[in-house]
Amino acid sequence: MMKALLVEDNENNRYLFTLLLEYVGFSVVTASHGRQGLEMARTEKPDVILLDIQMAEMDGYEVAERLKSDPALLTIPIIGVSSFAMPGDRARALSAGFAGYIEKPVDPERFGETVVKLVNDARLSQ
Amino acid sequence: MEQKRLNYMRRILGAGILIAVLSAGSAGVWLWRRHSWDVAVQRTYRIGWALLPPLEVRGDDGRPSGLAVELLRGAAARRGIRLEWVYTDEDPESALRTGRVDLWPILTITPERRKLFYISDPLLETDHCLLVRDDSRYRDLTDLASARIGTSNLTIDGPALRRRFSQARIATRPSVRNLIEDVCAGLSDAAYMNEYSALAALLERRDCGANGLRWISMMQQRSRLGIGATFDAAPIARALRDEVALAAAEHKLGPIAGRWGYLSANLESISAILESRRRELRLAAVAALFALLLVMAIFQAARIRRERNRTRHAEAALRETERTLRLMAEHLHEAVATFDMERRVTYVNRAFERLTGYSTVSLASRGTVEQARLPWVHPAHLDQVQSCWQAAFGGQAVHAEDYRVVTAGGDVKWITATWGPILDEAGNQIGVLCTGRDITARKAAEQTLRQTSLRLATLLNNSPLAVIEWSDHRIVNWLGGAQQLFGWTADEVIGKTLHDFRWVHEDDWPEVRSAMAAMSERRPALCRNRNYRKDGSIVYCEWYNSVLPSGADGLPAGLSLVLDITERRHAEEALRRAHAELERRVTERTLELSAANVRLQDLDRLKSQFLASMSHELRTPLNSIIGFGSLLRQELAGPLNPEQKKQLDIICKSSRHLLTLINDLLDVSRIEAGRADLQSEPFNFNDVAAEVTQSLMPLAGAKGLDVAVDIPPEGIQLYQDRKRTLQLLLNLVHNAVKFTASGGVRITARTAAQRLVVAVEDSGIGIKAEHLGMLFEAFRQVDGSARKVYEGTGLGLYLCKKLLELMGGEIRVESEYGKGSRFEFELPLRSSGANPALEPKAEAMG
Repeated sequence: MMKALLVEDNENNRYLFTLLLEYVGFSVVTASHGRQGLEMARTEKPDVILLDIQMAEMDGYEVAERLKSDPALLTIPIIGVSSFAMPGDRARALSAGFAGYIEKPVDPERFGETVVKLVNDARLSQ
Repeated sequence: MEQKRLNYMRRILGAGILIAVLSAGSAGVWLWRRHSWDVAVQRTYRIGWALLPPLEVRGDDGRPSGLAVELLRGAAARRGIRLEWVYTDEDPESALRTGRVDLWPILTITPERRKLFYISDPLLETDHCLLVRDDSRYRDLTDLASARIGTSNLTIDGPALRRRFSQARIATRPSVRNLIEDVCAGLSDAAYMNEYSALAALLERRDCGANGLRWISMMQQRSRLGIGATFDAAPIARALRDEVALAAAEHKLGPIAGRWGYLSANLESISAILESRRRELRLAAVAALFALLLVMAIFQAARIRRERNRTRHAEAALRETERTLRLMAEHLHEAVATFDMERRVTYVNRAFERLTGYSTVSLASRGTVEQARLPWVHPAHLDQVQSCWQAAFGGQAVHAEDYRVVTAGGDVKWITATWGPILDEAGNQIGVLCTGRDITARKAAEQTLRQTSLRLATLLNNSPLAVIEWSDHRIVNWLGGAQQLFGWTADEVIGKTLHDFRWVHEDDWPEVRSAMAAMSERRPALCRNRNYRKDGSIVYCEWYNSVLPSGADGLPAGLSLVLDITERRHAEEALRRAHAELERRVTERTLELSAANVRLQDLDRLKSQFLASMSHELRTPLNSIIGFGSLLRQELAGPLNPEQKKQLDIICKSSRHLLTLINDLLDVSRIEAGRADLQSEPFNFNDVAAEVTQSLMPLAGAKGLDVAVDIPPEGIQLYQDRKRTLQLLLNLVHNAVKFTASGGVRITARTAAQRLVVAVEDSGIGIKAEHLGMLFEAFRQVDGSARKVYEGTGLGLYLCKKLLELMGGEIRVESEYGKGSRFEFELPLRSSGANPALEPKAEAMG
């Protein structure tokens, strides 16, 4: 069973995404802010990290940057989840080393499958 | 010529009378002379001689010879008179007076000499003359008034010479030869001698070689020559003279004269005449007359020949002159006609023929001018010309005023003519000369000028402008509206200058002076200034000043046209004020507007910011609504009864609709703010089409609609914003599905001219024709009633249009109400060039 780390500051979203991920077979651990996300990434060694972009204190980009600067965590695929719907946002996320980018509000019927697909693609490309 | 002939006759007459008187005298003393003869011949008489050719010369044997010598020698021999010839340099007068010689062969007879010794009746007569060098300046006697004149001391009448040339320096020389040598050598200017000697000298070519000698006759100085003698020897002299005459009569002089060739023929005649004289004194006188005539003829011969030559030359010159004159007349530009006193045309030149069309021949055939009634004169001028004719034939020179002629061809021409009498040498009128000139062109020009002047004057006088003419800065003409404009009459201002009366406004002198300066450089000048009227009021004037050609007096001249611009000035002033006011208001309003604009820009920025924030904030709760709605509906949280399922379906559908609404609103706001970013990437349109059909299939399927796709199987490769392309197609197909109750939707795509052309057709409700125009406007759903049936934000088509504009494409629609619609859009296959929107933007939106 693959382990997903969900870093999301909105409690409702944490609940929703956890349910959606568990339905497609992930074991889910959650962090409610960036710093916690980083710690958990080191301790939990997840197979994938779902990272909210807009967070107080440390946003998604900074978290991603730190993750990428840690050789032990370098290879864990990161999927950005954001309610930023501007056209440049997806490109920016991808160029920051994200394996994928999903806009909020997510399509609950396709969310889980999308994450599985992105993880598989990331593994294949490594 | 006349004068010469007269002189000649007079001379002959004088000589004749003289001879007659002498003959009568000699007849009176005849008896006394015969009586004393016997005594006289008893002794030898010494007879002097000198070199006086041809009368006295030295013969080849050294003995004296010459015409006079031979005549006397012969006569003495026949009479038995013994003569001893004594050569002497002494002058004959003193030789005879002192008695050193008894006789002298030939001497000029003068009263003075007759008192001192005897001189016989004349044997010969001669004129005297002066020989001068041909190249000298001396032409006649007056030229010689103060010249150096040489003369022989032998036969010459010295006192007479001195009387004639009182100012001249007269030198005596022994012989004629000496005299000529002096002249040739330039020692004297002229040699004075009798014509025998001169003739002999010329005939023997005793001249100055290359320089010939010229003969100046002294006609009044006629001399008679006789045989000189002491009073004792007077009978001998008388006898010798008679014997010469006798010998001549008996033809015995021939051999003597023969030696002096130029006299021989004439001496024959002399002899014949003298013979008859012996028998009859009267006859003798006549004979002597003839003899003298003939002698004179000899020395006149050369003169006559010369005269003839001169005449011939003169005639040739005259002919040449006449020819030249005729040529000149022929080529004269002026018409020339001559008439004799019978008033017949005698000559017309070519110019006359050209002018009138009449030739000499055609005019001559018409007879006199009166008969012909002056055929070329225009009837209107007949009297005028007739009076000129009368005057001209009366001997006056008259100038005919311009008049018209009618040519032979019927043309009318203006001419000017001059008539004058032709006089012969004696001053008698022998005809009339007429010269004329064609002045038709000048007349026409004058006519044109007159008309032009008249037109100009009319124009000026009726002009609303003041027309002022200047000469030397003074007003010389005050025309047109000048009086009306300024108030002064012409009489009040003509002759005045600008400074002479209060006319120019004090403050405007600079403008006026600069205009005057321009005029003085002969440049036209426009001047706007104020003037005073006569009543002191001010008038604004516009002066159009131009320079006229200087008149005959050479003074600077000008013309000014003056326009009253007072009203225009007022209007301009009012306009200026209005303009300034307008300007002020515009500035005010512009300030207000720019402030408003700044506020609007702020508002716009706030709006965009607001929309972006709102969109983000709305998405977060929507995420939960859609997410959990979906989870519940999928019964993942537990089974649902049908009523719950239906209600959850409504929640899901409404929340998705709300999401679309938010997205569209965000897009519109971005596009309107010019901040819509396009991301170009390569993709295949077929994939986009497939995605769209796939996502709409459930909806279409639910309505029982068929969605057909007609795309080339190999696909259409694009380099465009994929997401926007998808959005476009999805929007159109979604609309088609939404507004179609039954039938189907068809998507077709093709390429044309490097563009993708996509059509979406449906069999839906269609759009009314009157609504097509507003179809692509924001927040319009065509039929208000449709809203009740179909959901929509009204932003979809507007967004499509805006997006296509942004991507370089366009959209069209065809529709028939109740039958269906066909939307077609096209896009470049490749997005155009560098698009700043390609750059990723880091915008803090949250």
